[in-house]
Amino acid sequence: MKNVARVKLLSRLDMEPLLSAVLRGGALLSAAFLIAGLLVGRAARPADLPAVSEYEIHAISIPRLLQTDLSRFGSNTFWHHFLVDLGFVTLMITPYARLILTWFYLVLVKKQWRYAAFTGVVLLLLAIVMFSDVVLSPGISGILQWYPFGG
Amino acid sequence: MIPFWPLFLAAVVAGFVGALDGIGGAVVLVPILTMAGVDIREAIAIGSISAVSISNSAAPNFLRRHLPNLKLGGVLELFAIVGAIIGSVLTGMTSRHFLFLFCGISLIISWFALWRAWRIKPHLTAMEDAALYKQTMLVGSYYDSESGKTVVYEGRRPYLGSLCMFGVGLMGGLLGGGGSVFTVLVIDLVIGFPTKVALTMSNLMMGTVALASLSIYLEKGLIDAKWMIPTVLGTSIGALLGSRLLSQLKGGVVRAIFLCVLIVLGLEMIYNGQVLSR
Repeated sequence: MKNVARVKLLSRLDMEPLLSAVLRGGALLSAAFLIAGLLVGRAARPADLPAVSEYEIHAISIPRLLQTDLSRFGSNTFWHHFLVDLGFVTLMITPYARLILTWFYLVLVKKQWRYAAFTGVVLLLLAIVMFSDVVLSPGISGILQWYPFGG
Repeated sequence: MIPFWPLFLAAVVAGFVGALDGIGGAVVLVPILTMAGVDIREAIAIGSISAVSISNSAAPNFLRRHLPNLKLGGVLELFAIVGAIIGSVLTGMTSRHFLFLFCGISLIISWFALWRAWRIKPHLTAMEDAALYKQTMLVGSYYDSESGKTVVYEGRRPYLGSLCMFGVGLMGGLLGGGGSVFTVLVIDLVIGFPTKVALTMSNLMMGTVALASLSIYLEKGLIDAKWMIPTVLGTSIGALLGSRLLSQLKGGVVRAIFLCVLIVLGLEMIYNGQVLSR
């Protein structure tokens, strides 16, 4: 009986409003982090910071970016950089969260394996470029030596 | 060097227009940034950020109206993302004049895509059991509030469409957006979905496609916080307003203005490319 009720409940689940809520929530959270970062940066100026947010966001992956930020804990610019970077990471994570939710919906509710497989491959590809330390540029640039427009 | 507030205002406009027309902010922001003296590769990275931001803010309204075809979107996304990853790598290898020319020609092509989307109206078909038709990815339906009817549509050529989406991803990677204008063109012309569905699918997909490029720009160190912050805040506000006003404003008026802007910017970029190549 419990299984029947669960199946009925799942079949009534509508994916679009869920995805909509995830995207809207991510957009708002990202903006909130960035505004907080800006305010912290403004408060610390001019003694501690040369100018608001004049730095490069540079990391091999999202985990490395956050790791680098956390390693600077205690420095004058920590909260400013951490909040701005967190806003940027939230912006990037949001579409990924939408894909994860879609995949679960296709597997658990719709049981449409073919479409779930396509979404799964998309998730895997994005996970490689976003979360792993695999450096794509040198590897691919080697393969693409023939490219005629290299500057 | 472009200060915070002018870039913020440009991003609001980019987000507003992007949400109204289903396109990314790169087509507006990349030319503005390059004209302000920002390196084109960094401008392209900011363009990617604006595409993700607009998609995050505008897509929720379209999803609530059940407009995008999520199944076909998932398949097309895969091909576009592979293209975007390769395109992003090529961005760092290509010369400036080529990128300018490429951006300009792409904007002119976008002009034709939008002009066509403006002129063609989707055919309406009343269906009794639309749910049955949702079993395959090439068939879908949505409620059209203007006509008060359920529109059922059927697509074609999914393989050619997928191949084209690889090219769209490649362009998106090079230009910095999700290649959304080309996505509209592929879904509309090649697959044959109604323009409204194509615009909203493009809006949703450009977030993930640009995400692939954005990860590579992060690795290359092309993202500057001083340009990222006003872009995200501006495009979020603009896209939120644009998607809210979409049902109230006449789309034709908005598109007509945007088409004029687009062609001017496209010609400007081609001119810049030719000047640099001399």
